Formats: sequence, structure tokens, C-alpha cells
Amino acid sequence: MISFLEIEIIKVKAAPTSGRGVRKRGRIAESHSGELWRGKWQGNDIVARILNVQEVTARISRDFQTEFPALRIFAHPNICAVLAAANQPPNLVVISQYMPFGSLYNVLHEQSSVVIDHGQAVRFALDIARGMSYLHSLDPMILRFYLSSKHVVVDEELTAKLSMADTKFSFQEIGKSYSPAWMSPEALTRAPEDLNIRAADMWSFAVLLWELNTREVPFSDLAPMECGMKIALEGLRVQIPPGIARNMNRLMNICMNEDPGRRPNFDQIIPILEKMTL
Amino acid sequence: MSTLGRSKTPQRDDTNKKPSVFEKLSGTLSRKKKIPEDGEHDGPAGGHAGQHTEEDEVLELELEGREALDSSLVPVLAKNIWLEESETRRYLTKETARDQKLGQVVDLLIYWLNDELADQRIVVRHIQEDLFDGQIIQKLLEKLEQIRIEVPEVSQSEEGQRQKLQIVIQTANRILGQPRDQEKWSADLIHQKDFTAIIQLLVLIALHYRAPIRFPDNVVANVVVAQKEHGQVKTHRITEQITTVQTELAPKGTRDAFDTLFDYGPDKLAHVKTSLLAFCNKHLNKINLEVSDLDYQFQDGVFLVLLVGLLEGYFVPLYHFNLQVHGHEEKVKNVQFAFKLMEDAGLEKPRSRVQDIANGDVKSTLRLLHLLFTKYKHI
Repeated sequence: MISFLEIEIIKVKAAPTSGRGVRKRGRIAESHSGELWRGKWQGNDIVARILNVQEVTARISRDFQTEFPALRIFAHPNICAVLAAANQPPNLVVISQYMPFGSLYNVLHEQSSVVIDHGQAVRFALDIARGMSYLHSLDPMILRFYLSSKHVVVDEELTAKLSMADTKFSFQEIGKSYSPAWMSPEALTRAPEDLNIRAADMWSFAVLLWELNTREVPFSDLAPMECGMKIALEGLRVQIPPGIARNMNRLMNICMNEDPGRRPNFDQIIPILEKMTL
Repeated sequence: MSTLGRSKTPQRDDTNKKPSVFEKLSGTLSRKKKIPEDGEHDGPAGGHAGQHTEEDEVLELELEGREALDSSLVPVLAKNIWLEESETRRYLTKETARDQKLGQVVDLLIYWLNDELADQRIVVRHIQEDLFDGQIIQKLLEKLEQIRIEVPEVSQSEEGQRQKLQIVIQTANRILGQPRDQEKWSADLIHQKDFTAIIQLLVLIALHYRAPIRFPDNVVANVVVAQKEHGQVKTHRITEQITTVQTELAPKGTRDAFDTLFDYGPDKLAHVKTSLLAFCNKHLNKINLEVSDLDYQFQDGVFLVLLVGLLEGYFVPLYHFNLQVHGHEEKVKNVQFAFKLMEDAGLEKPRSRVQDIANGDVKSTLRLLHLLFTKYKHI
């Protein structure tokens, strides 16, 4: 737990930085989930994300307090932990390590300085699968980590890590799914408690595999509501284009089985991905 | 996808009437009549408890409604009615007492009274037994009109009670603007626990203050009037109007463009409806939905939720609302949820009430859609 005063310092310190690719005032981005600020904390480059919550009530502040410690996962190389949090209503701030390449989504679709060849794409997939396998081994499981390329970050060595800071808190974005393209049809329809969350994550992984192989954004031409309704009710699915290696094609199909009970778990596909990286 | 059928809160269901439902009330402790004696009713499925109690509450209201009607039913042998010389009493005919629409009116009134008076810890269970002494009518008027009616808090004698009732009813008539001596109720009738008089008064109060309920249209009560003259009981039948058609549900407030539109510009109103319809369909068409009737197709909240999601750029996972709407409660929940999403989106607090939208009030619906249109017309 750090005080908001320190965050203010982070903001001030962040202000003058104007290095390569960094905006002048330190604010990296603003989205539906909140503002991202870049700064320094205890000598480390960090990202502070100020959550977008309309009114931080005492209850929300308390929930934040109980939920964030679970996101401090330092035990796995493919997980990017939440370093600290500032619970200072009206501000709730989550601090994580700064990643110069940003999200995997950014690396794949929005930048051109790093070329991602097929081998690198498979290595990303393997990194993600290992991270997910670890998350799925936790008891209790982390809820509301929705796997997508937007919630995976890439470090300087091009290692992909699951970004715990992108986990949604119980009070965040209730009833709103901004990236349904990665979600399984059952996760778009049924409540998490009526769902096999691990199997639903495997579907999301399959969409990620598709994305890594095609270098396209799934359903990029559809707005979230259109895409969600069509996946949930009209059987809209990503189409695997010709030219994808046969074994990768098969892996995607297995992971995207319409029957959640027949999808593999991450421990089962890690060896397959390991073979592919050879 | 949408349901056009207009249903009212709470819905009547003639199956499943067990006395045990009385013991399973939801709500605050103070409102509980009895503590459940048999633990087994609480059941193993704790997660569904909320749902159960809600259903029970509705069911219970229906039972109360039925009770009220039954107690006013004409006695089997009308000639045996025990009356004083020249005394008059009124009874409902059997058909009227069994009339579902009338039952709904009673249910809605009890529902509304309890909702309105909950903060004063007043619970209404029986429309006649609880209202005949005027105490609740007094509290209701005091709250809605924000006045104080100067009457003794408790009166011991029946005469005192009558006087108090007289003052309360006079106040009510003044507020409601009833012409003197033409009203269908009187302190005497209400004190006699006359069903029709009490209901007529309450319906008028509900309409005057724009209670967030919609009554069934054109409900009438057939009443048998029994009078004893010269030792003989004579009866005749009359028909009393209980409700007409409610044209507007939204509370009266400062006049806005929509009031003017409704009062003076039927052609312009049609024009506004067409543009709002085009706006909604421009977005809803993206998910293969089409609205053709602004007046009723938004009342179940489904299109509202989907529209806000389309406008704000997110999908709403389907378990957060009822895509297939069953019953009034689900409508209200959907509309409530849509309001929450709109609030999150930073829209100003709508003037329309959730209940008015769910009850299909056209003006309220148009106001709400116009709010969305104003913010999102350019996307």
C-alpha cells in the first residue's frame, strides 16, 4: 500500500519525461477503464493506472483493499504482477511495472518497430499458456482476468506476460464487456458462477492463437455489441484462413471446441506449443 | 424478442395458493408478520432465496386483494342481510368480486400504498380493514401533499373517529378538486368499509399524484345496493366506474417541449417520433433488430439496454438482463439496469421514472430516447 501523496509525486516526476515514444506529460493513455500514467516509484519505471470508478464508496474502497493483494503474483515469469496499490478515495490506483512495448495487442497491431516472425508468435503463445496454466493452478482462482491480447504485456526481451493490472475488480465495468471478440459464447451468455471459467479461458486463448497467426484483430469491423450478439446468438466464429500450418490449425480447433467440456487445459497444450517452437 | 403484452404489477396467478406464503415475507424485519416456524421453507438453495421471496410477496398481495374482494361480496342470501331500519349497504356482485382486472387494481393499490408508506413503517394488508378509519389516508395525503392535517392522533370513540375521517375526506376532496356533494365516496361510506368508495378514492389519489403504476383500463364494479325500508330489504344494482384510460403516467413538472408537443402538435409529434425511430433503428439495425412502435417496444427495457451498449461501445453479457422478458418485475429490472448504464455513461438523470417506462408511458419514453439522441446523434 502506498499513499496517494506518492502517486502525486509520480505524476509530477512523470511530467517532464519526454523520451522516445513517451508523451510529454507522462499520461500514456485514457480508456474506459481509467487513465494510465507513467512514472517512477522506488527507482523503478512504473505505470500507474487510475481506475475509472464513478463514485468510490466506502464499500468499493473496502473491496479494492481485499481484492488487489491477490494480484501481486511474483512467482511466475509469465505474469506481470501488480506491484502496489493506492486506496485513496476518490482515487484508486494500481501500480505495475512499465513495459516499453506495451500490450501484445499494441505489438501485433499498432507498432512496426518490432517484427514478429512465426517463431516469435509461437513463443508468445507458449508464454501465455504457461502464465495461464499457473493462474489456473491457483486456489482460489483469480476472477475477472479476461484473456485477450489487450491484457498481455510484452517486455524488452519479447517475453509475453499476463498483466494482472488488467484484471477487473468486482465493482468495475459491471455489465459491460468491451472486448467480447475474445470471449467464448458461453461466457457472453452465462454468469461466471454457471460457467467453467478455465474452459472459457481456453476459448480466449484460441482466439489469441488466431490473432498471433493472422496478425489481424478478431472481428475488427464489428462494434463490441454487434460482435458479442453475433458470437452469443448467431454462431459467429473466427475463420481460420488457408496457409496456416496444419498442426496450428488443429490446435486452434481443439481449443475452440464448441463444447466447453471437450476443450483441453493449458497443461495439455504446453507440450504441443513447446514442440512447435523447436 | 420484445413482448407487446401490457402486464401490471403484480401479476395475478391463480395456481399455488398456500397459506404458508404468509410466513415467507421479504422486506425488513419490522414488516414481517411472523417469523417462519418451519425452517424447511428456507430450503437448501440459498442463492435463490431472493427470487422466492419476491414471488411470494407478489403472491401474497394477490391473496390480500382476493380477501378484500371476498369480504365485500354480496351475501348468499341477500334477504338475510342484517340491516337497521333505513340503513343502506353496498355489496359487490359475484362476477365483480371475481373480476381479474379489479383484482389487479386492488393489488396495485396495496403495492403502491406499501411502497409509498414504507418509510413511515405503515403496512397495508387489507384495503378496507386498514383504510376505513382514515388514518392511512391521512398519512398518505400528508406525505404526498406535504401538509399536516390537524386531527387528533388517536381517537377512542367511534364518534371521534368519524369526525376525524370527515376532516380527512374533506381535505382529500379539496386537493382532488372534487365538486362538493358529487363525489362517489363519503366519510360514512368509507367508515362502513364500503369497497367501491375506498377504491374509487384511492384510484383518484393515485392518479392525482401520478403514482408509478398503470391500472387496467376501464374497470367497472357491479354493486348491489341493499336498503331496508319498513322492515323490508330492497335491493337494486348499479355500476360504478373504477378506472378509465390513463393517458399519461409521468409526474407533472415544469413544462417542457414534450408537454407542448403532446398538447399542441400532433403532426410535429409524429415527426419527432419518426426521427427518434430512425435514430434508434440506425443503431439497432446493426444487431438485426428493428423498432417499429416507439410507444410500446421500449417498455421491457431490452432495446434500451442494447441501444446504450451500441452507443457506448460495449457488449452487455446476456446474464446481466432478461433478453426474454417474463412479467412486470423483469421489465422493471431491465429498465432499471438501462438507467444504471445511462448514468455510468454520464447522461444527466432522466426525468422519466423507471416505472413509467416499464408501464409504457409514451411521453416518458420519448423524453428518455431524446436524452440519448441529444448525446449521441453524431455517432
